[in-house]
This record gives sequence, C-alpha cells and structure tokens, in this order.
Amino acid sequence: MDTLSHLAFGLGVALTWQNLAYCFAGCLLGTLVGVLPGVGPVTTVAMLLPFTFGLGPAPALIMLAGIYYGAQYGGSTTAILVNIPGESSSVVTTIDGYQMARNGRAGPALGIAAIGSFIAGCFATLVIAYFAPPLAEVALDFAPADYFSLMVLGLVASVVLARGSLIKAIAMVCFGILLGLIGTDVNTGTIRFGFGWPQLTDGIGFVALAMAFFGVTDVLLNLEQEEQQDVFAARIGNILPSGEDMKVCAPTIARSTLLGSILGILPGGGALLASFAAYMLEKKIAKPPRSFGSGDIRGVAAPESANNAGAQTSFIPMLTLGVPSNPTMAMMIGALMIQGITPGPGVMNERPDLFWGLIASMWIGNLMLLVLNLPLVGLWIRLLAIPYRLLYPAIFVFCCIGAYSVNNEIFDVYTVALLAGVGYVLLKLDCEPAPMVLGFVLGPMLEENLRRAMMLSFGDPSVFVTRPLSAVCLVLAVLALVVLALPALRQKREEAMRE
Amino acid sequence: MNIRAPKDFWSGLFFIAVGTFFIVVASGYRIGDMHRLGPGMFPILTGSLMALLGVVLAGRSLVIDGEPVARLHGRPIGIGLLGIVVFGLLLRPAGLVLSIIALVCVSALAGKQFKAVETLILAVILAGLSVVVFVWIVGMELPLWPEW
Repeated sequence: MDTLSHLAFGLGVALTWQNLAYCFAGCLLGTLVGVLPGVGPVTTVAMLLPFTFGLGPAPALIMLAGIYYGAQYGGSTTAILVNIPGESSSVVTTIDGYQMARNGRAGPALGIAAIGSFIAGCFATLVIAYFAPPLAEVALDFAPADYFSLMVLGLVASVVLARGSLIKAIAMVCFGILLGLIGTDVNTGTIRFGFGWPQLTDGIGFVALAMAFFGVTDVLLNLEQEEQQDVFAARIGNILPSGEDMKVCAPTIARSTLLGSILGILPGGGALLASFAAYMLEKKIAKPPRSFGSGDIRGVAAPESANNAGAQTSFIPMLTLGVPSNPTMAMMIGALMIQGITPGPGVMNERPDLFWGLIASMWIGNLMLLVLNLPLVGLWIRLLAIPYRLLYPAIFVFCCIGAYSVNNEIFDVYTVALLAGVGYVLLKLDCEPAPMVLGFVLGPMLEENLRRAMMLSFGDPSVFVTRPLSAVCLVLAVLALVVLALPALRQKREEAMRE
Repeated sequence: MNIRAPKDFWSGLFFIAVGTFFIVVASGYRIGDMHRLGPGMFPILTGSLMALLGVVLAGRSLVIDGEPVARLHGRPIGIGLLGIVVFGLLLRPAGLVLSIIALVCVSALAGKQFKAVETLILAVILAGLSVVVFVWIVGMELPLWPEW
C-alpha cells in the first residue's frame, strides 16, 4: 500500500463517531489549557492519562495528541491579548503579538496565528505520513546497542535544551533513571528499592510522578506570584488578515513550517525550540520593511507556524523508535505502555489502525481547531477572567482522583504529595524537571538494552563503538556535551535562551 | 570555607545524598559480570554518575560565585501538600464527596486571597462534577459517602 491509501485507511479510523468525539474533546481541552496561563499541555496530558485507560489505545492517543497541538493554538490567544504566554512555546509570540494588539491589530494577529498553525499542521501531518514509515523500517534492524546509544543521545539532547546548568540537568536525568528503576527487575524478578512496601513492587507510578512534577509543583510556584493583571480589553475587530498581510506572511509561514518540521523530529526538539528558531530566522532574513519587536505580523506568523509543525513532527521519533523527544511525548509513551503496547518500530505494523488513525486525526483536529479558534475567540478571552484561586483547587482535585484511580491505591496520592515537595525544592535550586521525566521513562529501557547488548556481545563493551549507528549516536552525544561545555558557546546559548 | 554559590551547593548535596543512597542499597543486589549484568550494576553506575556530578557541583560552589537560593514559601507548599494528604486520609473512610470538599477547602487556604463562602461553593461544585464525571460517566469505583 502506498502512503495515500494508508492515509485513506487512517481517515476511516479517525472518522468513526467515537474517535471524532475524542479528537474534538482533545482539541477543545488543548485550546482551553493553552489559553489558561499556568496550566500547560504536559500537566493536562498528565491529568487526563488515568481517564484514558478505559478508552482503547487509538481514541486515547488521538485525544492526548489533540491536547498537545491544540495547546499550541490556544497559547497564542493569551500571548497576543494578555502578553502572557499561555504555554511555553508561545513565549516568542508575545513579543510582536501583544504589540499588534496594542496597535489595534489584535484581530489579524489572532487570525494569522490560526491560519499559520493550520497550514503548518497540515504540512506536518504529511511529513509524518511520508517519513515515519521508512524510519520505522530502518529501525526494525536496530540492535540493542543501537537503541542504547540512541536513547543516550536523546537524553543528552534534552539536557542541551534544558535551561540552566548542564551538570544539574545530567544529574536530574540520573535521578529520573534511578526513580524509574524502582520496582521489580524484569530480568531477575528482584524487587529493587522496594523497602518492603508492596505498593512499590510495580515501581513509582508514571501518572503520580508526572502529576507531582508538572501539576502540583506548577501550582505551588504560581501561588507565590501575584494574581494576574487585567485582560487587554481592546476590541478585536476583524479577525481575517488583509490580502496584504497574507502576501507578507506567505513566505514566512512556508519557511517556518519547514524549519519547525525539521526541528520537531530531532531528539530533544519540539514546539518550544521550533518557535524560537523560526522567530530568529525571520528576524534575520525577512524582507524589509521590518518592524520586529514593535508589532510585525511576521513575528506572529513565524513562531505560531513553527511551534505547531514542531509539535506534530515530534511524534515521529516517539511513534517509530519509541524514544520521546520531550516530556509530552514521554507522557504519550506512558499512555501506550499503560495500554499494553510497547512503543517502537513494531507499532506501525502491529497496530496500523493506531498509527494511521492518529495521523489522520491530526489533520482533522487541525481543521477543528481552525473552527474552534477563529469564531470562538471571544469565548476564550472570557475564560481568562477566571481567577487562579478558583482554578488551582480544581487541578488538585483532578490530580488526586487521577493518581488514585490508576491502581485504586491511596499510596499513589501520598506519592504525589511527596514528589511534589521534592520537585518544588529542586525547582528552587534551578533543577528542571523535564530531563528527569525523560530519564524516568527511558531508564528501564536503557538498562534493558544495555543488558541485551552486553549479552549479545559476550561481555564486550566495544560493541557500542563498532556498530556504526551506535557509534554515530555516541559521538554526536559526546560532541554536543563538549561543545556545550565550552565557555564561549555556553554564553551564546544563555543569550539565546534569554531572548 | 565559604559557600559562594548556595543553589549549586545545596543541589550538589542533594545529588550526592540520593546517589549514595541508591549505590548503598543497590550493592545489596547481585552485581553480575560483564556478560550478564545483574540487577545491581546499572543502578550503581547511574548512582555513581549522579553522586560524582553532585561532588562537582558542591565543590565548584565553594570556588565560583552563584545565586542565593530563592525564598522557599512555606505556606503555599505546606498547606497545598497537606490538602492532598488529607484527601488521601479521608478517601477510604469518608468517601469521595467529603474528601473532595476537604481537599478544596484546605488547599484554598494556600492562596493569598481566601474567601470562605466562595471556597465552599467551589468545593460543592467540584465534588458534584467529580461524582458525575468520574463515577457516573467514567465508571470509577469509588465510595461516595462514609460507610457506617
């Protein structure tokens, strides 16, 4: 079967009433959390994970994916109207978006953000459909040593992109790996780090960990800040950008979509990196007259197209290799494993309905989001008026019930409280949770592949450098670390992060 | 000797402590050999890397300057986490409705503004919604009310 007939098959899966409903629910929720500051997509996916158990893998993944790319749409609304990024990948959008709103051009800014996102989303869907299958084909031949090195590279990439100290980020990866090893060792049946607690036999729950670090900890940090200021109340006016605007933005959207798609595939990449890179690129090469920083419409089109493209193509490594490139993808892997599906190149052949259904649903979801965002923008703005003091107890309720429901185990509720306390203190020490969560998910897989590789090579560790792919991955990982450790480049990176 | 980078110093100590803890516990498991790695090997390797990085962080913090630790706000974190623990303590004996109301009321105290009536209304709404969504629609098996 060629790609088009695969897509048609996927559309058949995605267009069932049930999957359409979950796709819509995901997009709606995603827009909602994108709009609400202080509630990001990672938190939402974590909170909803437990409720997807009963759904079956395809609808569960379709809904969770909708939340992720839906949040990219919703995040722009808050960024443009309130100058607060609804979530992290909209940070750049605030620069020119809010200026446009102050100049009375909020409408076109919202419009171009939605249109750019839609075009990028459609393109990224095609990229996944064409690139994922051959990649999975290649990945079927990967040996355990290759997987091990690939995961090391993925972890290093996540470290490179973390804010702040390199050493702290690597130490956090180690912390995540160690927490991930708690529980029964699959090879020998030894219960490790259980300390006699039967609840730890299956390890720390992924849901409890994610909720603690991305739900409760976020709330605790937000509570320290002042209540947010008033919403920018200007009239939004006509949302459709003028023909002139479209003409100016067309090349920007095209370039940013392409750039975002590429950056999304890279390990450690995703929406955040894509939005920053696209903005910088446009600022450098866009045709004059340039007014970046004081309300240039291209400054909205670029990050919004790129973050949506990047959000979607970051599914490629997750779907084909089983290696998550960011915390949200780690959640998706968690969701798959809970459904009893081992993420990796096998998924495409064993569960084509899941794979192609998900891809087709992304395109449908983008269409839904266009409808949800353009005409309904007034409704979303009104949501911004909800004070945080009413919002955060609801997050707590969700987290508690969710954590409990995984195993019907009160122990998991206490785990959330304990880990949230640890996460809070670590954040105060500038230790980011994202590398830790990736380490937690990849830890057991790393160990498993290390053991298999050593077994197959009869205890010869040189297998990691004699297999070409494994060697390339390790060299890249070492290079990335060395380059980052150089003082001059580190300064550049810090500047880039600050911008 | 002065601590010149407190954030690095304390995070370094944390990594040393956790890393050492895992190494000590893991050395009780079989280490195995290069051909067949035992369950103790990988945790010891990872824990060692973590502790080593902690040593670097803590050592460096005595030599180069860094930021002071931001203020830890005891009130939101203490009360917020207390709310979650209260939920856990109440769920089995008192049922879902009462434990949600308790969770909302306790955690609302963690914020800067606390309005008693508003919080109570919010608690009742959230409890009602949870019963409808999680118990009736999703079909989770949770006791709704105290069993006596």
